[in-house]
Amino acid sequence: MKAKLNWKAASAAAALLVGASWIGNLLYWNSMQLRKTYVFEQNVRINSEVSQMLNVNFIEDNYASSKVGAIQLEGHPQIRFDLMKNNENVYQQQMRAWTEINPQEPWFKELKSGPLNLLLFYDDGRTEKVTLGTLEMMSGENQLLEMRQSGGGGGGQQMYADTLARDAVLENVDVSPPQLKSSLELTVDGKTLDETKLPHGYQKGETIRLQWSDSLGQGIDPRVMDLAELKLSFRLPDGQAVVERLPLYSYETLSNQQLAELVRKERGETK
Amino acid sequence: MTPSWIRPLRRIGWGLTLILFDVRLGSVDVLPDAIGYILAASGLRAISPGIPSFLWAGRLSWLLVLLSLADPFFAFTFANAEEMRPPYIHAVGQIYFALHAVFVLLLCYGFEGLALKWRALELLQAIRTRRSFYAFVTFVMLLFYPFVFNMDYSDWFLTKVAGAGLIVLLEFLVLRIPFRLSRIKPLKKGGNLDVYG
Repeated sequence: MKAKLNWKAASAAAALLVGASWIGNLLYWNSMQLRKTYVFEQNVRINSEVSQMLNVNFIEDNYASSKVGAIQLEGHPQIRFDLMKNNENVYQQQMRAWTEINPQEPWFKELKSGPLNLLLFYDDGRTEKVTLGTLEMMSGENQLLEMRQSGGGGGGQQMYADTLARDAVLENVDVSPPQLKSSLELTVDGKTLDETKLPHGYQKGETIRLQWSDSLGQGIDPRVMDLAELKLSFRLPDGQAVVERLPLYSYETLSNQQLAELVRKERGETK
Repeated sequence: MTPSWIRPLRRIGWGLTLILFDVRLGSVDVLPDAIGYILAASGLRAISPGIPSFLWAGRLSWLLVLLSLADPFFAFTFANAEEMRPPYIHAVGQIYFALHAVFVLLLCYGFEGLALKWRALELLQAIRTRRSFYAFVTFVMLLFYPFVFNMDYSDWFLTKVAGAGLIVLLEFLVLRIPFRLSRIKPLKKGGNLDVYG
């Protein structure tokens, strides 16, 4: 005899499964919400002789009740930022604000080295103050590396080649934040850090070549993306110490996995 | 069959047709689903005595009239991208879809009862097959929908479009049933009934 489907039991089971699908998906979705705007900290260095772009990267939830409509550097309302959506991921959108810092602008002289805060203006009228990092004003004459060339090499490598403006001795190569050092495969003039004998003297006009793996961004805490930098400590013939800094990772967008890691870390679920 | 059942069955059929097909001028549906549900409700009122599933479908159709009237309000208020709408808007849409599916299934059970009563065995089998397919696809779609919150939107949307296409096809097959039932005529010999057309 053909078994007859108990439609009441089948309907109840179907409703239970659909309800479970909603609850499960909403719980997981809820766990992936940042619930605030996250601004990537960075140390901004401004050369007083050349015009340069300042990018501020931040992320906000797709379903945020109010989104950031404008940003401003605290104390510098004259500096106008443009906003763009850099990428939209499953739970968050990656935003970028940018402006041109031009030494010819009248407000340029008001920029001073020190802590840098950001004001976020939301659509609903709220204003929030967040830390962006530090501002370092540099005069062009102090700059040691002058003809910076960078680019992606083959095989996921990043390459920097810089010409020295003066005679200098490279005393140390360091990475900031320090926890990145273990995951960095860096070569200086084609040699690994262990093979490079420091201090190493360079003549004016000589080129220093640095190369490191582009896969660095995949394994590190996404929160330090804009902070990650190489610190090259030089000593000039007159005994003056000069530290040149190079950004390690110029990311365009974070992957879904990196965003998920950032959300979990910000919500304190993992260390 | 009783000729007086022909008009109600056809009204149900035309009601389902209006619900299934949207003719839009801009964002305005000039054939609102509410008219379809009212037509179906009117047909069900005439045909429901003695058939509990038609009775329940008739009651449900009035609830669906109200929900379908609220639909343009949601469409205008939340005109932003589907994946950016708040979760409760998705939930309201799914409740509407689930109630509509229950309505269609109740109709199928009613049609099945009529086909059995009139011994339209070939049509009876077709109704059962369509009802089972419809119930299964609807269940899978309801189960799948909440993944809108956690899946890559383009992947989710493509899957949803495929499922929605299947549901439209199945609803088209279901809406043919009342028209086919309305064409049943008694056989000349033996007093048994069978299907024409």
